[in-house]
Amino acid sequence: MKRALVALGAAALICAVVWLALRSSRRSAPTYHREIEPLIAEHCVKCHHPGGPTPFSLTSYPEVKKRAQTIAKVTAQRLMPPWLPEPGHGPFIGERRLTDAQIGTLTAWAKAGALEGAATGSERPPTWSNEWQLGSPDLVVTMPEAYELPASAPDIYRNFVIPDAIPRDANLRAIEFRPGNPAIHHAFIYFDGKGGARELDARDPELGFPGMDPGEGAQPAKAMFCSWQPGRGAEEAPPGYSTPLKEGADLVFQMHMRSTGKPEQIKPSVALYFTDRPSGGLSYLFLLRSVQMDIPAGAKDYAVESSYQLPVDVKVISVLPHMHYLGREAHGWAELPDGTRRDLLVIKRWDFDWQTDYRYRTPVFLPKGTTVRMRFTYDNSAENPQNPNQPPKRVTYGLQSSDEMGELWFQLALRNPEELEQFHRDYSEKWSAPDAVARAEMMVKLNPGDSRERTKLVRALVVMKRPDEAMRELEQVIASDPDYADAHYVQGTIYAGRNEIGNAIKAFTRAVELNPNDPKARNNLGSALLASGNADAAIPHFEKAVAINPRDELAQRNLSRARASVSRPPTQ
Amino acid sequence: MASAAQKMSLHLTWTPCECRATKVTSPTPLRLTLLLLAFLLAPECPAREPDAPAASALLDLGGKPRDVLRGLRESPSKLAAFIFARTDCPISNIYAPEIRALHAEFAPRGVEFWLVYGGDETAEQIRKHLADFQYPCGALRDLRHKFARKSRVRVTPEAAVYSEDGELRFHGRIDDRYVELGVRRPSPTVRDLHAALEDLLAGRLAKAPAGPAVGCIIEGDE
Repeated sequence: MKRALVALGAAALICAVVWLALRSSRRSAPTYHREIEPLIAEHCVKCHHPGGPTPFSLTSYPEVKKRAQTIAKVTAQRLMPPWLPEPGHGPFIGERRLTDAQIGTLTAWAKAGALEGAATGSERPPTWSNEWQLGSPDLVVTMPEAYELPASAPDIYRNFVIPDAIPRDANLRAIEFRPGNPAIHHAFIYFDGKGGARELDARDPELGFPGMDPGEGAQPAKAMFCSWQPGRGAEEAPPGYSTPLKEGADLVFQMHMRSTGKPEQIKPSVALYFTDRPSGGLSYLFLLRSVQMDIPAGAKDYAVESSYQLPVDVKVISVLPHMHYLGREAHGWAELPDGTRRDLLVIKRWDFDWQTDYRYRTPVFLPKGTTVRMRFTYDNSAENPQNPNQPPKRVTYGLQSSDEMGELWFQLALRNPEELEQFHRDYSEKWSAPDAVARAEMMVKLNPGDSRERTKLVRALVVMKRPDEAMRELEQVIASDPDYADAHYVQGTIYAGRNEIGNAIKAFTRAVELNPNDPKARNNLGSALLASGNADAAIPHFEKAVAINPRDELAQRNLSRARASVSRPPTQ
Repeated sequence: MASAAQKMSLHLTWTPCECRATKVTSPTPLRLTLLLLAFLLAPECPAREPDAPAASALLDLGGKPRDVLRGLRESPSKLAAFIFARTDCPISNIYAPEIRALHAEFAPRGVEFWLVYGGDETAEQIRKHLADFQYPCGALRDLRHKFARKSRVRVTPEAAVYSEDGELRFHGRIDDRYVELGVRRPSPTVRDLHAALEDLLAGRLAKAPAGPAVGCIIEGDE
């Protein structure tokens, strides 16, 4: 009996201890109100809110509870929040990383049954806004016609032009893109004062045109990449910077869209904010890339590299990596003259879906003599599930998403106009002109009969001051494709450069016969005729150039000069 | 106490929780202690459910219980394919065109198609979802995910195919489009559900999918 009582007492004691431990563990398990809500409010609700760019909200206990295990999984895998750069460099504005402890809390919460817990009274309910982040915009530009994205399609990368989007000359200081549909996965906004995007749009019978080339002349803003992905709100230029936009400039939305399972109407908008103060800051859009890209089928670790040595001090404002689906790692770094190395960007798990630019919290100073380097790697094996080709195929450089690219763009700040000019001359001579030739040669190699690519090579050779090679290539283009207008146009410019005015007139005349509505060919023919003393013959061509493109200031001036030389009044 | 314990003759059967049956005949103090500890500390194990009621935990959109497997037995259809989905799971939604295509191909050949949603989703939400994504299938609500557990599915979207005798013949991913969360092929290379339906209609055993289903975890217990 006594032994039974002792045993019972021991059992009761053990039970009590265990019960207390379980109760304590339950009490210390994370709860929604105490730990989870603040975490989600800070790191997730910016995207996951009603009306936001994602398919579901995380703004209440029921919404979060029903996804507790999924949330634990995607955060533990660091899929969410989406952030590609490795920790330990930058640091970048708007870094989206959870700490290991925060991930542990989410996991523990899911495991313990996603308890709600009692409200603490000090919660800050998650807040979000679907209003424009910087207040009332100076201008909102909306795509005039919606693009219908099919219910099921491979990823679509397409450009849409809004012509004459800018109603007056203005200095841009900030933008905010509003996709209006979660099918848009990321976007770039370009400003085009030269009409290159319109030309490409005109050639495509459907709304917009495909690919990653927005057209000659389309540019982002100064010191801003104008890129958007879910979670990116407004983008403001760094202090002291603004971008002059000309009246009548076109706007281009370049968007990566993914089917959602039902047809979607795509009709985004962008808010623009202007400033009266023109930019005092001097920025330069600097690129390191390799076009020598020829990735064999099955290659797991194919690498491309590029580098450039800075001729002046610079500060790096922001960086933008770009690869397609085969990309694996993206590294950019600086080797300073004192031998130190500064990582500028380290991505080890590239994800095409989450490409964006990264702005440093403090611009990175790199002294003159620093070598800036990039090295990107690619996986073209069958084991890469995102390989567009199964079985794998040879993949070369190109602008379609089935091709590959490796580009590291930088927005640089320069100290003064003299150093900006010095940088530009040195970079053009040592990097961008050779790159243009390399790119043109690669494109001709991949598209041997393509007159457009061959003529681009000719242009690049002219810039590289290799006019004899340029003319030889051009003569071959004209021989094989005599009706290609641009080849005659380029030939005319080469003859004009050699002061062979008679030959220039012949070449430009042929270009105008083949493409009567090319304002540049009209202007150049007029200029050659004027140079030969024939102002009467030049004037109609200048008038035509101005009629086609009223923004062509050069043609306007030439017309005035020609009229003045014959004292002829303007035609009505 | 000892006589009470002797009278207890406890016979504890624990399934499916791997607990041990214990029959106490003559408890010593040690055995009594262990017994009490086991009883007090053992996890809460639900009583074993009888077979078949999981299928009747399904409600149609009018709120009436539907024993779909019994319905299958009594109908001319040979197979029933259940696609577990959610209105707000983006991966589940991306599969809408594929599900419609499977329906178009196999429904005329004697396969019933059902979309199975969680009990937390209302009939109104589901009706809108069916309209938005132009689903031609019937829809059911799976209370407490009982049918999902019976069908051994864990995520949305995921499929389960039953034959007319009520046996589960296939369960798993629809295709290999998703390798894991965040990693998606441009297009599928293996269509597991399609292959399974072909095999089953031809009288062959369906092959198990070569990889796991990827999607939003079916969780919560409404």
